[in-house]
Amino acid sequence: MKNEVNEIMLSQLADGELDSDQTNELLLDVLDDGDARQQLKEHLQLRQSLGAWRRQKPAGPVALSAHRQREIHRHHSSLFWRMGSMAAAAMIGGVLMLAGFWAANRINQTGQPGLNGQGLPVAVVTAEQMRQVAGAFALHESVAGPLKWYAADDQRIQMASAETAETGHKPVAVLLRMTPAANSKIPAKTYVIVCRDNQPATIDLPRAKGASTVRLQLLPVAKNGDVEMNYTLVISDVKHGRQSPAILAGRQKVSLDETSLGQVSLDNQLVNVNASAWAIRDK
Amino acid sequence: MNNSLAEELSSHVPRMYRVALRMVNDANEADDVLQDACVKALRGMDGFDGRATLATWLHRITINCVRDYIRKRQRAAQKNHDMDSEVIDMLTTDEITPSVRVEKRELYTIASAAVKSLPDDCRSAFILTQLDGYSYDEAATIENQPRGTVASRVYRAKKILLEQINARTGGRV
Repeated sequence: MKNEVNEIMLSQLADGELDSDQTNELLLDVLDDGDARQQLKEHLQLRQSLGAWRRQKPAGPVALSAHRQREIHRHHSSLFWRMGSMAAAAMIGGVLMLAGFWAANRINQTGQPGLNGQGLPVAVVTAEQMRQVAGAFALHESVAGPLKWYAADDQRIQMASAETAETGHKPVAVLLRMTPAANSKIPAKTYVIVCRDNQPATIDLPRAKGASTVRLQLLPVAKNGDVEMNYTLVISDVKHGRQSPAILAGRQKVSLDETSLGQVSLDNQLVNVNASAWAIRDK
Repeated sequence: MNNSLAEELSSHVPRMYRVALRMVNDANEADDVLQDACVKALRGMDGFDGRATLATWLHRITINCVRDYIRKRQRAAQKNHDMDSEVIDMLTTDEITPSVRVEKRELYTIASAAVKSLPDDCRSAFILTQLDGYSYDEAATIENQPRGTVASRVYRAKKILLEQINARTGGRV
């Protein structure tokens, strides 16, 4: 193992750059050669010493500060930009979720349980989750321009552009959770929704192809730390041939504690609909 | 602009972060640069013509964002490739025992100092493959060199580093 070509191969072996046959052949040579073993050990130790660096990842979700959003918008206010950027914004959502930066499911898993009036555990939205939602919304706005509303599940994103008059209304975040009332193999579904304070929004929630259409009509009013929610949930279950839609409507004061909005039929199952909500503060 | 492209892009994000962190030498600033780079990449995705690989294209965007960032902040050029003690602390906090941590820290400190003394071509190939985490093929595209050249440069860099490290540690490596 004295020639440089083989030493270059050893270097590549330590970096995992050889295919399996080359690796096998080289390792057989190395096992019979004391000098080569020592060289390989050194290459591996050097590689290992830098491993911590190669494992570095961003600490949190990709989020933009408000000033940066404005910077970006100043440069991209044309209609062309707005139209093209909706697709880009939808992709950002995909990137964030696929990268594990921010996923709706994670919000459920990390919520700190509290107790509701009946002593039953309820999820409470944490500051970190609020930051994640605000960050994701800010990032989408930075690309797509001001949004009237934004809704995401763990795989899909829907959004609509805001009219000029709507941009003056602060964003309000709503976590909508739909959980089968009885034991079911169907997992709970969480939607992250951001719309505008005191502005009605009609939102077709993200859904898989062929799944029931879930339309949410929402009017949130943020007041004294809570959100007064007027809501109508309309579910059109085409798959199971249901003729008339299932409807859940009401008015509830919702806060960071998960609050029940009622029950409704979805995919031939009764589901509990719960929500948490808060006004997003500008950074 | 489809999901598979988005998925592919997301897989490059940690590496983009490392490139930014290495160059700005501050985790918060690296986050800022990464945000810029992500937005620029997503905005420009429609214009990505596939002539460059996605890795090369994103690397270029990240490098440009770092340069813009440094220019805006009027940072001293000296800081660009430094890896100060704070970063080294950050890298070694997950080691199990204090003695292992000290040893790794020492080795890392020596290695990172020695990297600066490498010839330019070797240093670049070494940093791309050993710190940023690019494969030899990706580094070859970024450097516009044949893969064999990159492999040779990486090897030369390692040889120089190992000699320096062994000299300073008394042959412990």
